[in-house]
Amino acid sequence: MSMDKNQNNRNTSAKDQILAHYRSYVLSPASRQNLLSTLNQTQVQQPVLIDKTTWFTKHRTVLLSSILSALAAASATFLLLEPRNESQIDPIAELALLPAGHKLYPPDFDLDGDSANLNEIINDIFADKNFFVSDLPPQIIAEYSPATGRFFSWDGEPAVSIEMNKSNASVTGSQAATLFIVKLSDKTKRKFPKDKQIRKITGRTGKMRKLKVWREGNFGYAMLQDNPINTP
Amino acid sequence: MTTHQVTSWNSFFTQVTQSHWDSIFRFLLSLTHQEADAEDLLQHTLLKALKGFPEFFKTNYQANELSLAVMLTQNDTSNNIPQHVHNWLMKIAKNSFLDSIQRSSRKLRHFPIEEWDESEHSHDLAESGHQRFSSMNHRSTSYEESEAEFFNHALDDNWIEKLSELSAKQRSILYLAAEEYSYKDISQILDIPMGTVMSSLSRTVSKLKKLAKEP
Repeated sequence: MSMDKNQNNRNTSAKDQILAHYRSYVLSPASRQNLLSTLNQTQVQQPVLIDKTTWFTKHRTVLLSSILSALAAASATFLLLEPRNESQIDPIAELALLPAGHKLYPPDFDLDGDSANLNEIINDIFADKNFFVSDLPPQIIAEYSPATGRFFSWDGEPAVSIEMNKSNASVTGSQAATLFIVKLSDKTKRKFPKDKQIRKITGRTGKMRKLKVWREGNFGYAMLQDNPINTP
Repeated sequence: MTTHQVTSWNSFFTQVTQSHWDSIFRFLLSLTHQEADAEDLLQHTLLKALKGFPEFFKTNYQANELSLAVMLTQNDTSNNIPQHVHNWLMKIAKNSFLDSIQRSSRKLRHFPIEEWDESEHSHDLAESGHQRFSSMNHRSTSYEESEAEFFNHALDDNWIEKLSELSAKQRSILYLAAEEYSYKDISQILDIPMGTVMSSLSRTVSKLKKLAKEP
């Protein structure tokens, strides 16, 4: 250390030295300019207002239109999805795809030995005086007798499935069949018989069962018969 | 600053903070000991602060609108707001520095961030509250004395090179103490207990004295 520096040290404190060292560093004009332009280009978000009442009043129109849009979107989604959902849980398809002889539900009624009551039961369900069991194709009435049955809902309308036993079963085997009768509304008339669903059922059960579908007035019919070849 | 000049939070922020940029830069320099790193961190700090500036006024001064924040700052005759903003920026700068060393330590697979919590810190925390409180006045006086003693004596020639041998915390405390920040302010900016600030400054002073004497 030189004499000059020693002399200087006697007049300078460590604090001054430290300050002088650090204060010798300043931002260059170019750095400052660069910072200014970066800060000016940055987007700043306003804080959310505390006064909720004012906020709601101010944004009422936007808020209401958003809610209405959300409701419309939800309704549209529901309407679009609902038919698909319905087709997925179609009871006819569900029952048709069950293995032969398998009962998904216990029967709601048993007509064994009392088949004359079928007309009354069905009229009770459908509350429709225009429906007559005698309207069924004569071949079904002649060849089958109703045994047990179950009520279900098809597209919001009442429906019934009736297990039928073939009258001459002793000769040709059991050959049980299920008759589905569904009440059709104006909306569901267009959908019955549902070609897509029928193709699906016959595609998967074609060798095991036969499916016949037809429509008469306000009622839809599906007759699912076990194939005699597959019947034990 | 006049109201008609302030049209956005950006320009308001620039006007309020621009006079602090150099001191924030020097504080970051004391932490990083690298000019280029300090400049990078200054930009990072200011961007972070700008984004949080409306929230700063909303939380601390219930000023939701820009015009209200400008008016409050203009009418602040006691200069509290600029001081508050300055300390806030310093804290953001310190946090940006810690974030950066955390990021680099992940890359380098070592953890220099531990340097921030040295043994003296844990030593301070280990002391019982009562003992610490009762001895605070005495300790404060002795630290102030040793600090005054150090600051009154000039450092040997090579002290600047020896700065690199200090930790980031030691350098920053030394710089802030030289800039005459109170212990309380240093403690708040660095987010460490006041006792740690005092003891750390005392140790830094002794260390730098010793290092500066070495050839």
